[in-house]
Amino acid sequence: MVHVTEKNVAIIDVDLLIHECLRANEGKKAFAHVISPFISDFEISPAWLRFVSNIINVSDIDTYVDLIGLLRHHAAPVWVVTRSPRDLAERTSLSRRFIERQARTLMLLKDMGCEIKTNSSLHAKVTLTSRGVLAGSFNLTKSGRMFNLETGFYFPNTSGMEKKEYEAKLKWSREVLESSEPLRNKELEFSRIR
Amino acid sequence: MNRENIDEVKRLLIPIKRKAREDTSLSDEQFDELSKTIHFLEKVLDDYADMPEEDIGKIRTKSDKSTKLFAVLDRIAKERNPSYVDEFIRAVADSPFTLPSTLFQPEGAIVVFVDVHGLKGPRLQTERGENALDMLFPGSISHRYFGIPVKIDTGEWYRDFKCRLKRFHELSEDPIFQVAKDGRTLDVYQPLTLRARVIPFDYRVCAACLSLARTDEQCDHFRAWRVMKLPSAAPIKIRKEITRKTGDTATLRPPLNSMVEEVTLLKSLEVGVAAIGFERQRGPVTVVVDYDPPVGLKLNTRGIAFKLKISDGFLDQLLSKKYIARDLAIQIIANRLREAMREMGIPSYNFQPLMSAMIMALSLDTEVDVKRLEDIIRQEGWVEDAIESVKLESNFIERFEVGRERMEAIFHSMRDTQISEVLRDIARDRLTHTLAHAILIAGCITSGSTFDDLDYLVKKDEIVLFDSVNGGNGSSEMIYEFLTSKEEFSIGAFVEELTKGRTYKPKHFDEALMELLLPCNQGVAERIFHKNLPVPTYTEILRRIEELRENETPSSVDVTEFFPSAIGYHRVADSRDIRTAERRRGVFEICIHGCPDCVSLGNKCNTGSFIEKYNISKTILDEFFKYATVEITLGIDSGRGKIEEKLKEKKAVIIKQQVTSEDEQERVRTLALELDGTEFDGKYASFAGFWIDCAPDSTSVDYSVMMVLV
Repeated sequence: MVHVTEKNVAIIDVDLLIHECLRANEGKKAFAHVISPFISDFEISPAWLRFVSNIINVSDIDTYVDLIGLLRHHAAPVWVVTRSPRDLAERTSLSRRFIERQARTLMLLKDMGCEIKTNSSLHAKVTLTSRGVLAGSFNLTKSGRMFNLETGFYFPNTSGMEKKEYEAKLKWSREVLESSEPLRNKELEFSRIR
Repeated sequence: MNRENIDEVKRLLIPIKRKAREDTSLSDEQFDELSKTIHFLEKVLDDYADMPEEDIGKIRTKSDKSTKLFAVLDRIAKERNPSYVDEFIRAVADSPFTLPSTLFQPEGAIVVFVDVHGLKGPRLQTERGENALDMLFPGSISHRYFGIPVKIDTGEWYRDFKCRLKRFHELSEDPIFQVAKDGRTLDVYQPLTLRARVIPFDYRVCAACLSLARTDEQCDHFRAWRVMKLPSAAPIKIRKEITRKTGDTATLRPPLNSMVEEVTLLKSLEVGVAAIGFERQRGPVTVVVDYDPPVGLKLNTRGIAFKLKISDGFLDQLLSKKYIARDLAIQIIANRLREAMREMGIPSYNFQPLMSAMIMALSLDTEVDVKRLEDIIRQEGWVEDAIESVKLESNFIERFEVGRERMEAIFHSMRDTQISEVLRDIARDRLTHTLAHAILIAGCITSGSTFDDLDYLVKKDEIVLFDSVNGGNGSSEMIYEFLTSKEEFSIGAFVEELTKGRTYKPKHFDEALMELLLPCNQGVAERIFHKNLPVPTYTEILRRIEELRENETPSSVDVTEFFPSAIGYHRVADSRDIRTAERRRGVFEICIHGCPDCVSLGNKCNTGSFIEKYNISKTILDEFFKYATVEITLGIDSGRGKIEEKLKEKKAVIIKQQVTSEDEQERVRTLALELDGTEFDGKYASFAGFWIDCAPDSTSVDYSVMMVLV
């Protein structure tokens, strides 16, 4: 288990997805659950993306969505659970700009073939793949990954207690997926609300 | 001229005056003339010394301009059909301003004229010098002028495979520089006007020597056949550094800094590029023709120098691997044979049977002691075996035209080939040359250039990458700028970077180079297949192995014997027909010392494509990488504690696992997963690399994971 803060959350994020790409490349079952009430795309430092391999090519990756795109390129399914932009516009005082960013990011993910689900009660933030789970206070936004003081944990799906924690989180994550609604196009249109 | 020069000139005049006074052979008129001249010169020097600096500057500018104009007049005087306007227009602008004659021609370009006979259009064409060497070299065929095939003259070369260029083209009066080739020093001349001709539409190529019938190359083999497609050609070039001016230096990040000591930006670099011949290819037949003399030009450009760290310890370790020493010996013999054939005027397409025969006669397929090889090669006994072997080879080749006498001569000339004395130097050269290929490819990836934009030259323990046009094209500077990611992993630094707004984020050079230093996955797949080792399920490797399974069965021959076995047909001489022989021989053509998937550049290699495979070695490069990273490499069974210690100490660690059976699970990635994000003294472990290897002499599949602290 690794203690996670804003200092290493992005490293683990990136590494987890690269591990998943390798797993997909092996022809083994690979997937990602990305659970966060707020989602917006953000740039990833090249220093975090330095990866050399004669098996997969990790290049032309500038942002987090590009990294999801790489995983999709290897045909691994990606589920995203978040709050719908329409729901955020109706029920919160978040800025229009913030909500628009969320809507844009969801459209990009949808175009990539990610399954997007929404849940108005969502507050948890978890990234879970076949290789491990990253859970904590950090939203999948630039602030959540870079600016704010955040905390959480990373459990690799290896052995012992970590594996147990991982399995518990996997079970929970599947329940969240089941209880969430698929994102409808209507929910991306919120301009008429305000 | 500065004040010190003026005084020096004045001092030189004193003994001249004294000598003139004492010289009784001078007549009074001569003495008077001389005195007046010396006096006038002294007065001019005094006036010059008293002149204000700005006036001297103006005089210099006017002097430069008049020199330019005189050069223009000189050139016009030599040309039959000059443009006048184009020539003068460049000369009239006052420095530092320029008045370009076109929007496309970079100023300062060296210009070569191409005089095309038979063209329906302007006969005299102007070309940049670099184009002349790349696309319009003697022997080349171009569709550049109105889509009509035009050949640059060479005259006959079929007798000795040499072109006498001075008979056909206008070259500079004096050589512009010299190059060394196979122990000879060659004078290189600048082409001024190249003569060319339109090729008759009904193309006919000689099947024996590939010369074009009904052109200046016409041979007397009487075997010219009509072809739909003309053969391809490429120049063979040598590059030589003449002068340089250095700029900033930088170092690469680990682990590359243990291979490359320093990287220096060369603000100004003068390179001599000489075309020493050309290769012409049609199907499996390649002919190599030399130029007499070579033609070339001097480029004033920019570049980057990579100073290497190649230790004696590495060379000792490398040469202790017998199969590598043996393969290097084969490469030495191959280059020596090619040189001997060139001296005797034997066409290059006879090379393979002769080389194959030597391998057979000297038993080079099976591992051999290099010292013993030298003893054997000095003796006469193998020559007869080689000649017999050639007879077997000729069952599988269309044509072999070297008679017994010449074969004896050439094989006897090979008996004094030095091997063990030069083996270390050759190993070092192979490494440097192969690394140069990797650096060139990485440079092209980083700068978005092609092989036409960037070039390389190799020196002792140094590789120079340079822009291949006069004046530079920005590629080297771009590579230097994106040499390595300067970003520290700190949120603050990254966020600050974000605000600068980057429009272009290329792959950094060090990352591109590092990937090229990893094992070639084509070679890895082939070696795993032939060694019957546990197959990794990663797509890139599995796909290649499955393709091999569809078409072949694993060979019973040891993979370390594949390189010599692939040369010629000696290994498959018992085949009943050429098709079977070709199929059986093809099995041995796997990536051992380089392939197009990794470091082979084909006709962009300094040695030309024909002999490239005897001048590079990916295996040696792989060994160098392993040697350079040995301090940060640990086996998976070293234990997590030791691995973490190494990571903390060296800021990087490579964890390796050797898998020999299907039952073994790959564990390195699991360990990497567990280490991800772990803190070590304020830095965090990050997954930075994963590769699979299977060296030619290995008995396992090696999985490696690299972790770095960021």
